[in-house]
Amino acid sequence: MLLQIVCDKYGVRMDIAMHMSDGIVDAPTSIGYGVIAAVGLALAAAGARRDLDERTAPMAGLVAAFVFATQMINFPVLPGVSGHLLGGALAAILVGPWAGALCVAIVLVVQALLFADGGLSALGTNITNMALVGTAAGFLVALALRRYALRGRGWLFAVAFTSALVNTVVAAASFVLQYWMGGSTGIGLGTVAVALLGVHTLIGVGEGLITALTVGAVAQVRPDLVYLLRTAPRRGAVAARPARPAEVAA
Amino acid sequence: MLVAFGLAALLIAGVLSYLADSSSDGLDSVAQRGCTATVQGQLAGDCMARNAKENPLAGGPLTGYAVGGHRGLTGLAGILGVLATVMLAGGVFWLLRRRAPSEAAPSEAAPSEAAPSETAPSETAKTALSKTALSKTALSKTALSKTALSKTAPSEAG
Repeated sequence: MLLQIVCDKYGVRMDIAMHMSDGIVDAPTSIGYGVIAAVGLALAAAGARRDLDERTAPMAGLVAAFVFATQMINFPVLPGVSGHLLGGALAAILVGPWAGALCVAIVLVVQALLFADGGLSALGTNITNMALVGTAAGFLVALALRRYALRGRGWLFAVAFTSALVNTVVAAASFVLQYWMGGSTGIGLGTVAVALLGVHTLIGVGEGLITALTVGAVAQVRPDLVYLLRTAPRRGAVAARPARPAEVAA
Repeated sequence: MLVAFGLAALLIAGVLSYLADSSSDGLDSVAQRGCTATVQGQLAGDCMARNAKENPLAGGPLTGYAVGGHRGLTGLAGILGVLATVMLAGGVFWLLRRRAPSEAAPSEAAPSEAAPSETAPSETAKTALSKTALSKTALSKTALSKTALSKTAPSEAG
């Protein structure tokens, strides 16, 4: 059954499922997005090689675990409607866009395989929406605003919040596109788009808060583990290098 | 910090998950708008999710973040998920990581160099795109340190 109707002390309610199920978009769309996801993840792996070393690889693994855990915590956004963190922007700000995309993708795979959360054939679409498109959009925003993020805690909070909000809304928009391409029912796109983007804007606020708080906490204690902030020391190091021979010759 | 992240993940999955809102999430709500769930677990009506099919693995022990169907064990399911994620993600990222170049020799040859100069090559190493580039960086550091030693030697002798 798609929805395991669970009778418990709260009455009849739906089983917990957070991502797109199989069958919501047709087979060609699922397959096409499976290819897109595979290509995207290969690119992410190649990019992650550049960003990951023995210090940041364990951090990336734990960021993935943190995203998994936080995705379990649905928060109410409207009566009868909840939301949960997607995590792409959070992961990208902490460990970079490439490793970040892989973090979310791995979480989605674990969810689909172990918990039947999200469909199997829908993995391509889910990975594309949340791990690739959402993460990319969130990170591009963070990158564009990076010089503000470097200014201080309040600025970093605002940048992380905005990045995460964009991540969530764009991921939802990506689903709307998929539904437009291959939706398996005749429900009109207009009402779907408005409702979905509206709800995910609200969810994005929650995602923004969680992301900003988490990034802020990490930046307080270990700013070197925040990818978005890490580019500054490199510039300083490059500037220092030409000076060394001059210092030695003096 | 790493330990904090791991502990936070376990706490969130193991404990906080019990407080999670159980309403349908944003996607599910919109996808089921127009349908009602029948007691047989089907969707009746017209909605986006009308043709949705169950995940083929849905009979598994951890389906729906329960353990063997016991919703009360959702914390345990969460912890197991966190562990699975750490193992899978940790494995993937560990395999993908760049190995550190053998910088032990060059840095030992230049003990008089200040700490910032030792961190500079490792920072530039992170920007290197290939192992060849990494070894070139190490070689250039060796060249610089040799230059430093040769320049200081005459002044010390003099």
